[in-house]
Amino acid sequence: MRRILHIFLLLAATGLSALAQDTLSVNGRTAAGRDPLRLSAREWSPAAFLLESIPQRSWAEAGVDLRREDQAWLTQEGDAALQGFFRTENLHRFERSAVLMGASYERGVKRNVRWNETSDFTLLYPYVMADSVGGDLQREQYAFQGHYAGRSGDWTWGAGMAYRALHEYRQVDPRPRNVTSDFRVDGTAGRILGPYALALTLSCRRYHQLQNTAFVNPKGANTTLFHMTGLGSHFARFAGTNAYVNVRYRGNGYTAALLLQPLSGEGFQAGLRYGSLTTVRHLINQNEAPFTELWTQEVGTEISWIRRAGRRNWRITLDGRYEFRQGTENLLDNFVSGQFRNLLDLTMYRNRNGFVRLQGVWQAVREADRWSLSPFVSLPFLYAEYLYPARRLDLLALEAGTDVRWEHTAGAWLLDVSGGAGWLDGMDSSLSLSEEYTDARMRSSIRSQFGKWSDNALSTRLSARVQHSLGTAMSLYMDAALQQKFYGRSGNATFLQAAVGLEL
Amino acid sequence: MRRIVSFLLAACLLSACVKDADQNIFSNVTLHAYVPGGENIVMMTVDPTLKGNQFLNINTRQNYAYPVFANGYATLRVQKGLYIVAFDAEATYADGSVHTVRCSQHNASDLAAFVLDDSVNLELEMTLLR
Repeated sequence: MRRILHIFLLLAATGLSALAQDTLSVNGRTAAGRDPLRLSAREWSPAAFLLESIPQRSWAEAGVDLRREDQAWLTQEGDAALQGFFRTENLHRFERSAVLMGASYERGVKRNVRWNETSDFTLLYPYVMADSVGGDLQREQYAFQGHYAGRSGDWTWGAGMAYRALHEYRQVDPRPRNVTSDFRVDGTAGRILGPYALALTLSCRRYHQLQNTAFVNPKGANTTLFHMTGLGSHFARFAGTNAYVNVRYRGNGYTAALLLQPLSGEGFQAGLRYGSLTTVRHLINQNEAPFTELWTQEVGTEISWIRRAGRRNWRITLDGRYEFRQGTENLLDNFVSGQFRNLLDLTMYRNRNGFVRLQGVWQAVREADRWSLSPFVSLPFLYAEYLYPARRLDLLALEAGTDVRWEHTAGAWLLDVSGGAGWLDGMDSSLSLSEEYTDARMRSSIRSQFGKWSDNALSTRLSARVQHSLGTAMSLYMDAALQQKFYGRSGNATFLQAAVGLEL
Repeated sequence: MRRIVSFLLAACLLSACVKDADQNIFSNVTLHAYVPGGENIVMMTVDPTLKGNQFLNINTRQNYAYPVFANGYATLRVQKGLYIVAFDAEATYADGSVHTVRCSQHNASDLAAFVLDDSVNLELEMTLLR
């Protein structure tokens, strides 16, 4: 903990010492960094910040995150969460290079987590450990990242790394203790082509999670632990409360991304990304026998056109993401030789999900005011199947909405207010489960969750930022964002985030 | 530039492939029941209500019902896996006599029968109970 604090303080101090060179005021830098027309290219290439039109910028903030749902969107992540966080990010520019550093620390609790004892559920599903009791889950996470990018003539290059560590646990039975480490390293090579820059980024990822689950009540275990295999199916052979409750996840992956970005901040921007991650689940107490393997592939794309004409600016973006998960179960032998040998593997689970979205931003600039309107329409989908006994879930929805934003600068003050609403229409959905071979409680949980996923919903968003300059080198700000979702049949959900911070 | 984009697109599409697209997760199992004494089993019926009679996948705990054995043979289509094959049955011999017989070769996890190929033959030696 002390080491983490030292790293945070070091990052914050580095940011404080290096910012005076910029000609823009702190509030001006903030406004430039939060420009709704600007597309963040970092998702495609961590080294892209070198060529982005964001001035040098550093910030540090502390805040709280709150989530409360009448019915959980993901039962496995609980129906409520409360956590505090501290985040900092420093972007330093030099003559022909730039450095980006960031760190974050989060600590909180997830309430009423059901049918999941594993961390990083959205990364590892369906291969998680589950039980029917569940409960609150304490969590603590810290993350660091550092990237360096440089330019030499028409060539650009960059390198970086990111690390995330997560610890989740519960102090009543069943008591999981999950320790996760997630490490990425990336390298970028690019070339300036006239008014554009083309960059190819390759990154490698190494994932590890150690999961130990214990029961300490002298009366015995209060639930059975299941190793889920998808849509309510589970590895019945390894269900229990003792020998098979310690699990290790090992993952290796890579991502390749190609990004074309305009140097001037206006014009055509396009990105294409392919990622692959293979995660193997091992039974620790059984000689690390590997019993499932999840292969997740992801393709993402984005095409944008940005036009800046002084007082009237706009951007139009078409983006999409397609994820394909394939789950393989290993047929392990009967332990006669003293270890589980893998005799055969069967790919039993497939999940295709993603979205296609069209969004636009229209911006009007008038002296100290910036107004923007951001309509969008999106088509999210999810198709999941388990081969035998056959289970299937299909979802297709249409979501549309718009946001309105007003940014105002007055003297030492910067005000940024936005509000919006959207409508999600569950266009098509179906669920088919094997009645005979699905635990009645799991069946009920999946049906309930499916009811929410296929429901119509109205969502509203309201956020505000108030920032005040304290001299020329520092601003103090307060951020708040409230989002509410009103489902037709599944109650309401509220998400609240509030933070105070320093912008340097 | 065009070549680079074309190459990357092709690489993405090729990589985003379906794993084991042509896999067959099922196996056609032929069961051959015989009595060591050489008597021919004309017909054999496994009582599904008798607890302990099972053709059980030890990974999924899925249990399959036995069909009627004709001339000592029966076929099942099951998911590939390791199976506990254990049952008591009423067997009718060629001379018309009816006997109770037992199959216990694969009656525990460590004795499980391997059903891993598209078609598998299992020889089941029956023990005469009465």
